[in-house]
Order: sequence, then structure tokens, then C-alpha cells
Amino acid sequence: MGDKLTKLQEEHMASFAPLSRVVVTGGTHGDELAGVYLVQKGLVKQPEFLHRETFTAQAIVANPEASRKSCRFVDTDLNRCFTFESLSSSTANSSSYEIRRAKELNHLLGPKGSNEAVDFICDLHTTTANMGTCIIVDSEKDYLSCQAAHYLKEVSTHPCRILLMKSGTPTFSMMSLAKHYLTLEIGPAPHGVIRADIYNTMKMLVGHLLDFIDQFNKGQEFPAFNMDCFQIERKFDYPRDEEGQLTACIHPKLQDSDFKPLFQGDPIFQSFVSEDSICYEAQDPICPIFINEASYYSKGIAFWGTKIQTFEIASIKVSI
Amino acid sequence: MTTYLNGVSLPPSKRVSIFGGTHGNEMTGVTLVRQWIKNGAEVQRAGVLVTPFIANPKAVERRVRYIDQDLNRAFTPEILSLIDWKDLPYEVKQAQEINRLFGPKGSKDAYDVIFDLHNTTSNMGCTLILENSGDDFILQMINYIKCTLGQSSCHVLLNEHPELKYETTRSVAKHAVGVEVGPQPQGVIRSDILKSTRQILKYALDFIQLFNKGEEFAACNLEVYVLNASMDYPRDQHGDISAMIHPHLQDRDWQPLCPGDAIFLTFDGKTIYYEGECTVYPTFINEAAYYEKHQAFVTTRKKVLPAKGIKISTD
Repeated sequence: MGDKLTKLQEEHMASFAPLSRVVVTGGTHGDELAGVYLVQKGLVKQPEFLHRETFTAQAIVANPEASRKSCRFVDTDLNRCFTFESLSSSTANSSSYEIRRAKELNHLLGPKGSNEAVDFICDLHTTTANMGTCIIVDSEKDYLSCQAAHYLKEVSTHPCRILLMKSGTPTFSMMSLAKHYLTLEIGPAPHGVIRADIYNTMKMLVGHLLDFIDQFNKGQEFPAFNMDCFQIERKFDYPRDEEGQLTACIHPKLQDSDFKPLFQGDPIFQSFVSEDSICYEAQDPICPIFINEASYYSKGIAFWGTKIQTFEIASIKVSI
Repeated sequence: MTTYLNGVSLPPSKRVSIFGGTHGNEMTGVTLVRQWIKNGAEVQRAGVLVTPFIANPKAVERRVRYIDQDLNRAFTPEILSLIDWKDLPYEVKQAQEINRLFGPKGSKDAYDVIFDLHNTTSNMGCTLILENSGDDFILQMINYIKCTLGQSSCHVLLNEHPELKYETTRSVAKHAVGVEVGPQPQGVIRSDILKSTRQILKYALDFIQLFNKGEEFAACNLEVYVLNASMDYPRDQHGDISAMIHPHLQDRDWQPLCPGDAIFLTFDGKTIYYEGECTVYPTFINEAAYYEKHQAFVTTRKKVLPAKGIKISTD
């Protein structure tokens, strides 16, 4: 596509009401400590960091019980509990801490999909995968969130990539409670560990995001642009035996190579027994991400395959 | 043990075990031992019984460090002699079972050697952990590994510290070796870490076989890092941590730490400096499992340990 914008894009501008209710959430997974500590020890203790001329953001720990125990979740992954179906399910499911908490958060920050929902959520995550700094948005049609992601990518001193969810996927994540939202996903970091470099990068990006929202609220127009991003396509599981145990691990050539294209014949797994390579077989190249994320072993994911896509994102301006 | 002109004569090592999953989320040991239980050809050596063993099966199944308490701290005489008149914690029962299978600890019936495979989130590379500076057999084994793989292939950590020493799973055997390899996140299997651990085990087992066949190992010196002190994170009045490992210290295991060097960074950006009296060598920097043990890193001092020459006794 290059930088050439379509006539439609030049003419179309998306307007949004000012964003006043902005929430930064950490500890959606209780062992992703950068987010937990940034909220608990950084933002809560430095409230001036959350304050801008046009609004003051709120910082909350999404999964307090898991954060207290420094584990990913107590009963079930909180970050999968926010589909419309799950939020409206009967209380028969309420034996799960996270399902109850999701409903609490929906009451506090939502209801999801309604006019009463908060304006913006920034959800903080870390990964054991070598993904660097990644900004996750659900849909290319949410121009405001895409513009926010673009702003972060432009101002960040670290290289940032934008990750887009697969088209048509029902939204399920905590951030989807809000009208607009994104996730900051930074790695590599082991779960249960706080790394100062990751903490500082996360803090810097949250600061930039709040600046973006403030500038937007004050009337700054953010021009149309072509968003280059990695869009999720499909997942790849580890080779397993009849009992479901792994028989191979991520190949040394794939390990830590998040976002680098995989071509047909490239090695992806290495057998435990023989140290033989298992190769990527499809013809179409794919860009793997979340390579060797600890919490995905039990979800049957060795890595996600993505494709590079470009979407036209309209300019945005606040409507008075 | 008897002395000969050039060193000490020792009995052969006939019974050896390799433990994985002492901590259920340290995946290299879990993966390798599971593999070797299915097909143990790689670790078999003529004349030696080599038993791969999953030390904490429930924790491995749940992919957690432990169920009730840390198995690798459970081999004290008190715990090993607890009687089951009430429901004992899972790891206490497991420790007693391990002591029954591979011990009894301190007796002549105990296994000769146990290798206990661990991973750490710290950037320690391959580290061999020694519990007894007078164990010439293990010192010679480590020397053999380092001469074969290269002197920089691994560091040796000696823990004889009166307060920081703890009763490990492997301490059931006559000779105990901790194989600690990192950095690797908990719950993750990295192929490079798997390969390094496999290599260390290979040469360790080769050494045992050579020794048993009569090869003599001449006196040598081994550079070790002696455990000196444990440093906790700065904490607030509630006991919660109030600072992180400083970026200048993060990942710098085994590199000199001098008085005045940065060690912690508070959440509001202030640096805290090392106030020790001399240069030390930090390790276990930012190990995930040690937050609850109040350990941000440990300091060590370098020392050269002499090892006597050894050969198999003909008695």
C-alpha cells in the first residue's frame, strides 16, 4: 500500500467524545509482575503520574487474588472471561473466582458494549516470549485505539509492533469492557519476576498514552495513516504423544525469533529423543509470535502464526 | 576411604540417580528425566545402575514449584523422622519416600551419587552446586567436566554457609551434585538449556564410568564461588518489596560487584547502592522462587579448592 492514502481516507474523519474515564489495569494475570507493581507501587503511590489537564486516569489491579499469590489465575484465566456470553451467564458458574471477578469488573468498568462503559482501558501484560514491546488492538475499525497504538509506536524509544486480533473473533479480553482499549505486552520476562527495564518501558508507554488522550481531548487532530500490523491467523501446537505430553520443544532456530518470517522448510520444533528437526510445512510464510510463552503450554499453543497486514485508519478528532 | 601415595582410594560408584522435578515447574529436569524413564540408553553406563527419577510428581503434574512446602528444603532429620499420626504435608511424605528409596541419608546403604536437575530465572549459565568442600570425588568430577567442556562452561557454587545451607533432596546420597541451569522462565522448556544440561550429565556419567574402570585422577585445583551472604529486597512497613534489582545488576551473575555499585532501583526511580566492604560475586540474581524466601540475590567470594588425587580402591 505504501504511504498513498485513498480519497475516502482523506475525506473521512472519525469523531469521538472526549475521553474522561481512563483506566490502567495491571495484574489481569497475577504473575505478570510489571503490570501488578506498576499499578500497586508506581501509579497508586505517584498519583500525579495519572493526572492530565483534561482527565485523571484510574489504576486498578484486575485480579487481586491471583496478584496476591503471584500466580496467573486462581480458578480460570481472567482474560478469557469477558465474552458477552460469559458476562451474562447465570450464577451457576460463580464457583470460579475469575468469573465472579469478571462480573464485578463489568459492573465497575462496563457494562461492556454500553454507553456507561469507561472510555479507555490500557491493560498491562508481560510474556516469556521474546516479543519486545507489542501493542495489541482488537479491531482495525476501532480508529481511536489504532491511532493510540500508532502514537505509541511513533514516540517510543523502543521498537514497537502492533498486533491485531483475528478478524471476526468475539472479543473476550478484560480490556474489551471499555469503549476503546489496547494491551501493552512486553517480553521476554519470566512470570513471577520483576525486571526494572520492562517496568520502566511499561511506565513510559503508559505516560505517553495518557499524553495522547490528553492531546486528543484538547482538540488535536490525528491524521489518517496506514497501519502496518501483524494479524493473528492460526495457532501451532507442540508435537505430543498419545498421553498429551510434549515430544519436542521449540527449535533453537525459532526460539526468540518472534516476528521473523517463517518459510516452508524452516525448522520449528526439535525432538527430545533424536534432536531431529520438525519443519514448517505450509507454502505461505507466516510470522510467529508468542514463541514459547509459558502459560500457553496448557492451552495447546507453541506459537501463534500472524500475517503482515496494512489497514487504512481514518483521522480522528474530538467532537465538542 | 584410604590414602595412597598420590591421593585417596575410594569405592566405586555403583548406584547413581538423576532427579528431575524436585521443583515441578523447572522443566529441563522434568523433560529429560521423563525421556530417560521411557528410554534410558543415553544415561546408562556399564557397571553402574543409573535411575532417572521424578522427585515431586504432584508438583510436576500441576507445573508448580511445590504443593505444600519446598521439597528441596525438606531433608532435615526432624522432617525425615516425622511420624504420620496426623496428615503430613505432601512434600514431607515425598521426602520420606525418597529417603527410603535412595537413602537412608547418612547411611552406608544410601545411593552413591544423586544429580538434581534445576532451572533458574537468573542468568547463571550452567552452575554446579557443591555442598561439601571435602568431597574429592565430586571436585574431581567437576574438574573433569570443566576440562572437557571448557573452563568457562560452568561455574561452581559452594554452599557450606552455616545459616544459608539447607537440606536438599540430593543430600540423601553419599555424593550430591546440584545442576542449576538458567536463565529459563518457570514452566518453559528451552532447547539450548536442555542441550547444556544433557552435556553436563553426559560427562559426569562418563567420569563415573572412567573412575570405576580404574582411571586415576591426579590432584587438581578447582575455582569455586563460596556462598557468603543473602541480600533481601528493600521492603516497606508492610513487608512488601519496595525496589527492583537495578538494571546494572540484572543478568550480571558472577560478575564483580564492588562497594558503591548500584543494586536496587525503587519504584519511584531512586538507586540503592551496595554497602559491603569488598568486591563480591553475586548470583541467583532475581530468581522468581526466592521472592517469598526474601532473597534478591546472594553474594559469593572466589576461592581455589584443592582436590586430592583419587582412584578406585581395590578392597
